[in-house]
This record gives sequence, C-alpha cells and structure tokens, in this order.
Amino acid sequence: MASITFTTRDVSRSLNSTQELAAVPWYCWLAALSVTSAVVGVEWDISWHRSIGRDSFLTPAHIAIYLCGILAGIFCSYLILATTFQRTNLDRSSVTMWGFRGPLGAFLASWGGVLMLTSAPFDDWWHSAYGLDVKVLSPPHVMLAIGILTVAAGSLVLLAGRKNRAPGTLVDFLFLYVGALMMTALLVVSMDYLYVTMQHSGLFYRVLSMVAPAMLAAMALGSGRRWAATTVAALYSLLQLGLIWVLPLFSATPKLGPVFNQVTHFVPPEFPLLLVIPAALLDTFWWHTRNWNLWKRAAVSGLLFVATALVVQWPWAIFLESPMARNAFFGMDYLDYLTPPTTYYARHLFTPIEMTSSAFWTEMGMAVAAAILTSRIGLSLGLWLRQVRR
Amino acid sequence: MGAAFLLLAASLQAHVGSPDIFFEGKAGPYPVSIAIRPPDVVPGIAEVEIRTPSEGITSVQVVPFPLVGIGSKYPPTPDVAKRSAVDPLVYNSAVWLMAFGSYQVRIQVEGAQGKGAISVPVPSVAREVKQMNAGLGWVLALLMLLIVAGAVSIAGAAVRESTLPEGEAPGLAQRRHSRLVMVGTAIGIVAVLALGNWWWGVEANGYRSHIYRPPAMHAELDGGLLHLRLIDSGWSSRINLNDFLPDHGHLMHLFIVRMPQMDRMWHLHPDLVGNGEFVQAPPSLPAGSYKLFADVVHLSGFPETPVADLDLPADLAGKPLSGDDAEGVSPPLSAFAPQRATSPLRNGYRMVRLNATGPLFAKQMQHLAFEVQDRSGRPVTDLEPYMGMAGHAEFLLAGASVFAHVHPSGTVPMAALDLTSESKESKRVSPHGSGHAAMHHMGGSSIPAQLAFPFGFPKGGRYRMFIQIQRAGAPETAAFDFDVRDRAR
Repeated sequence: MASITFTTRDVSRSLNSTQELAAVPWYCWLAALSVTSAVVGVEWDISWHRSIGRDSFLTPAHIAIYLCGILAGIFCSYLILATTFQRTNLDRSSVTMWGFRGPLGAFLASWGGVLMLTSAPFDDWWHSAYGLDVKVLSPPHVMLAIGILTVAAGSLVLLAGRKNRAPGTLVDFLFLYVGALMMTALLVVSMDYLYVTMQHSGLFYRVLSMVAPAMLAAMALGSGRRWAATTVAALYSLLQLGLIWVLPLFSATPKLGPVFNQVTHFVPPEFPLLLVIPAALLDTFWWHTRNWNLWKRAAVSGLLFVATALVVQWPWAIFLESPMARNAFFGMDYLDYLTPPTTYYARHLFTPIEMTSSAFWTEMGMAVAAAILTSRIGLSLGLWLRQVRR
Repeated sequence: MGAAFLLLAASLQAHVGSPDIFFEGKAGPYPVSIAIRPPDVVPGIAEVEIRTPSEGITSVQVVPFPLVGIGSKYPPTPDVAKRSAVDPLVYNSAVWLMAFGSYQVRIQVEGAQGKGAISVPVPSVAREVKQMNAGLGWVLALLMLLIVAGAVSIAGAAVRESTLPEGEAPGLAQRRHSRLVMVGTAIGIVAVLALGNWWWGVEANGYRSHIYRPPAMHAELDGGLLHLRLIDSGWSSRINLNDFLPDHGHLMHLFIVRMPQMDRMWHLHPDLVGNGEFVQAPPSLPAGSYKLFADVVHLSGFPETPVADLDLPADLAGKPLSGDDAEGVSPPLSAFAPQRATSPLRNGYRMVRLNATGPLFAKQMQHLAFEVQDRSGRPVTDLEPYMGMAGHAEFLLAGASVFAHVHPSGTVPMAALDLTSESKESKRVSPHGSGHAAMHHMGGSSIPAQLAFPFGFPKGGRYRMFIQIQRAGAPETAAFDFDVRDRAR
C-alpha cells in the first residue's frame, strides 16, 4: 500500500503544479491515451463476448481498440513529419529512419498502429473464410495483439526518452501507467490460463511467470523509482477493480445461445491477481541489488516471484472461490452466459490440471525457470529503457 | 440374378446443391412463409425472411438455437425482425449459427390474435473456404512488406541512436552493431512470418476438414437386391450411420432417376439391415445409367442426402412396386418444355400447373401450385394422403447437381420438424397426435385437389420436378419442367 500512497501523493502534487503539467509534452498524453483506448477496448470487447456474445465490426469496443491504432498512427506520423520538416526541438533527440527524423517511440508506435490497422481487413476476410470469432487466438487476432503491444511499447519508449531527458514526477507516472496497461494487455492475452479455477495448478504459475516478471523488471529498472513495479501492479489492479465495479452498471442481454446464465449486465473480468505483493518484494530486492550481476539478480528474482505468487495467490484463490467473495466488491458472482452450471468454474471449484504431484512440481519448476528467464529479459529491457534518450 | 450388374460409385456432392430452406406453416394463428439462407461458413450469419399475410402484426422475433441436446433448452434472447420497406408483409432478420450440426430458428409472431411461434430446423454446416481476392491479397502483401521493412529499420535505429546524448551522431561501432541487429531482426521476422504462415495453413486445413460432405454411398445389385452402403465422410465426429429417424414412416427415401434424360424415376424405401447398410428389392429397371439420391434424417434431426451412380448394362427384371413405393415416367429432358402445363396421370386424369409457367428467377421463394383434375377437367375429390402428405415433390437440375425433396410444408424433413419445441409442446397438449408433423400431415381420406410446394431454385438452369400424389390407394407421379434464370443484376 505504501507504493499507492507514494504514487497518489506524487501525482496529486504534480497535478497541482501547472508548470509541470505544461512540461509534459502533448505527445506523451496522446501516447497514454491511445494505449488506454486499446486496453479498455479489449476488456470491453471481452466483456461484450461474455455478456452479449454476438457483435459486429462497429461495436464501441472495437472502435476503442482501433482508435488506438488510428490515434498512434496519426500523432506519431505528425511527430515524425514535424520533426523532419520543421526541425522542432525534438530533432536533436531523434533517430533517423528512411530519411525521416523522430523519436524512436514514435516510429515504434506508428509501426504498431499500421500492424493493427492491417489486421482489420485480414480479420474481416478471416471471418468470411473460416467463420466468425470462435477462437481468440487466430493469426489476425495475434497480429492485432502484437500491434497493440507495439503501440504500448512505442509509447513506453517515447515516455522513457522524455523522462530520461527531462525528469519529472508526472512523466514518470505516465511511464508507469503505460507499463501497467501493457502488463494488463499481456495478462489478457494469457487469460485462458489465469482464471481463478486454474490458480491451484502449476500451469497457472508457469504462464504467469512467462508474462509478469518481464514487465515488472523492465518497469522497475526503466523507471528507477523505489516502488515502480509495485505502482505498476497497483495500477493494473485498480483498472481491473474499476472494470469490476463499473461494467455491471450497464445492462446487456445474451444474443447467442445456449444461454446457461441469464446475464442482465456486462460481465466484468475477474478480481485482479495479487501481483502487488510480489512486486513490492521485487522492488525492494532490486533496489538493494543494483550492483549485482544481471543473471544473479534474475535468478533470485525468478525464485522470489514464483514463491511469493504461490504463497499469496494460492490462499487468495481459496477466498475468491468462497461465498464471501460472491458480491459486487470482489465480483466473483458474475458468470458469463455460456458457462454451463456443471463446470468447475460455475461451481466455484478448482479445475484439476496436473493429475499427479510430480506433474505439478514439474510445472512449478518450469515456472521458476520461466520467471528467471523473463526477469533477465525484463532487467535488460529496463536498463535500456533507463538509457533511452531519443 | 447372380452375380449382378455392376454398379457403384461414390459420388460426393455438396448437400445436393440446395442449401436454402423454405417453409410454410403457422406460428400460432398466423400463417407464415419462411425462407432461411444459411451461411457458407460456420460460425456465420443466416438470413431469415418471414412473410405473413396476417394483419395487425405488432412484432416478429427470431432466435436460433440447437435443435437437440442441452443447447435446445437455453435459447438466447430473440432479435426483432425488421419490416421490409419494400413489402410490408415481409420481415427480415439475420441470425448467428455458432456450431456445426442441427439448429432450429424459432419465429415468434405477436399481433391482434395474440402470440404464436414456430421453429424451423436448419442444418448448420460449412460449405466452403472462401479464397482471398487478388486485390486484398496485394494490399495485405504490400502492407506486410512495409511492416517487415519498418521493423528491421526500427530495430536498427534503436541500436544505432536511441541511447545517444542529444545532438550526437552515431559512431562506427554503433553503425556496425546496428547492421548486425538489422540482419538478426530480418531473420527473426522471416522466421515469425514462416511460423505464422504454417499456423495459417494448420487453421485452414483444420477448417477444411470440417467442410460438410455427405456420406459416400455404394450401390450394388447382388442376389436380386439393391444393396446400399453408406460410408462416413469424416467431416464430423458426431455423425453415426445407425441413428436414423423414421421420416413419413421410413428410415430412407431413395430416389432413382435415369440419367441423363430424367425420363424415369422411382421413389423407394429401403430397409436398414446394418450400420449404414440398406437393402431394397429393386423394381424392373431398363438398362442405362442411374443417379441415386438417398434422404435420411439422423436422431439429431440432421438430414443428409448421400448420392450414388448405378450403371445397368442390361435390363433388370425386378419386383412390382408395393406399399409406398412409387414410379414416374416423363418425356426425356431433350424435350424440355417449361411451358407444358399438364402432366398425365392414370385413367385419363391429369395434374395441371396453376402458376409459374413463365421463366423463374433463382433464389426467389416460389409457391408452385398444381391441381389434380379428372377426365373432364374438374378438380378430383378422391385424393389421399401419400405417406401423410398431400404430395411429395423432387426437384432436379439437368445433370443432377441439384436435388431437393420438398413437401407442401417446404424443404424441411418432417422427422426434424418433430424435434422442435413447438412440436413437442403440441405432443404434450395432444398426446394422441403425432407431434408437429401432425399439423402438416394430412389426416382424413379426402384432401383438396390443389396442392402447392414452397421452393426456391438455388441457381439458374433447366429443372425437372416430379410430384407424387396418391389416388385410389396407389401413388402416381406427375412431372413438370422449369426454366430458371439467375437473378437479374
């Protein structure tokens, strides 16, 4: 909680300071806005499919998703063209590509935008050839996901360059905020393995270890702030909580059958994973091991992450599956229309994944290996983000 | 008959070329004509068109859900069909068919006479994989090229310049490192694209393996019997070849048509003797080539029409027809005569076409009406139900790439219709009735001399229509020709 207090105080102080607000350039705000649009759009779209089931190309959720690509494409192109032809003060902190000059993040984000927009006609054709959305993971959807993640990565690099050139609390916060959105997007991509019913399986910890440590490490080292990873985890949690509390305020009716549950409102995502606690521990560890070799740091980070996640999430999952969590606050009484009442999920039971303890511990071993590897990647990325100046 | 004539061959045809569903019935007190055009891919969107002449309609609602199984108990919220701006008697809707198999589309009508509902069985299958058109292919290929080149250049720029202090130019070491990273990125991207392409192929092949194919059918004459053997085509693991429902009291309706002239036809009812094995004592068949169409309905209400060819090098002396078996003789297709309005029946009786003598357009729902007349041209009064219906009709396109077996209630098999919730409800209310089909099955011994068949020809061409009716205890067959044009553009 310390991290949240820290961040909130910092941000409110910044917001009071119009001087600093003015110091954060417009493109930083647009970068954060475009990633917000995609992540909120994706969460909305998932909720749409769990509540209504059927959609068309122009649903508000889809518009929000594609707005990210359009926004990133437009503002980054403008930034690049203005830097190239008007020789703005960004020129000295720009990279060169194909004769154009601009911040690296602008090139990266506009690339993501082009990939996102390319995926749209491809996806439309895919549906006409192989049917409407049955699978979340199809080549055009993966293309869209990579596009969104690249816009997020481009925005992070843009913000990293800015904060490294002209440090400030607000731009630091925006950097952590976009990191939180990017981690949310990565967790959404992996959501099939992260449901609460899976949280007593080794598979859950392995998949989580393949996603979270990299983001936490990259953000912690990229930011250089004492509680950066914790702030990222807290922002991710707040976003999920916001969705749990807001989405059910809007009515929705299933338009596809079979309708096993008479859904009347938008079904929100599950209660956020308790990443705040492993993140706080890792923040502390990374803060005190700045001089360690990266592999050594990664090895301890991976072990710490898996051990803490296990100790925290395992009992927390028991609570979430209990009647005490079936209320509007924890949101564990929301069921989508197509989950049959006979399923483990609907019965609030843990799905047996590994049938033997050796299978479980093998998965846990792989989780540790994955966490070490992704921590290592994250640490390197973080160091690079800390150095980006253009 | 000894060792027989030969036979055979498995002809694989699409669901005999006529996927659209046409239905005539009553949603409670409201008479409705319904056309459902299923999608080519599943999951996909089916178009639904409902026409009702009733006045005072306040709403028409449409909902799709599985015909049997747990899904049939949990339909979603219906959609409100839109009233056509062109024809106020017509309502349109589009519904999603989510899975392969037996679906039903329920139509709920509300109006001055209260509420009424009817469900129409719809087989939900994928028929094709659409190819990407060249224009889109080029656009995507160019965009991909841009994306690949962009990724390589961005990776290079990141390594070359991203961490340099403001205003500083990259040195030789950075440039060299950048080039290495660009080569590495290019290799990586090619690998990713190859992986993506492989994945695309796997998905496409997976989808293709689920494209609907009827069971193959082998037809063989042996020991004086016609043996039909169905062989699973493997498009769905849920298809069994021993789970057939009786339709009009028969597990199979077999139609034998002499090709290519379509001048002789038989409507027979083989018996099931084993898993996918049927046997029929054949009638006398003159030498020639024959096309066999076998209509069956699975327990799930899913209908199939396996097709086979049969070549008879010499005349076959068979048994006289009995029971519900019928035969028909008509002029050869070389004497195609869409203007011919009369088809002769026994004893100087005849069947007269009451409409549709001019050219027709494909895809449009028609109500093809006929009257059975005596020698003096008066409507007959001695028509009897033929297997519970006023008549059975078969439509064949020249070349036999289209075959449809239709009743006055439309293209839906009665056995499937009996599985709908409305039919089950009517069974509950009237346990002595035979379900929904009873509404369509003709009960009494005397039925009107006029009969009509709702149908939409799937594409342009020369069609032959055979109609079986029953009079004086014996079935008879009339034949008409239709000249159908593809819809004017």
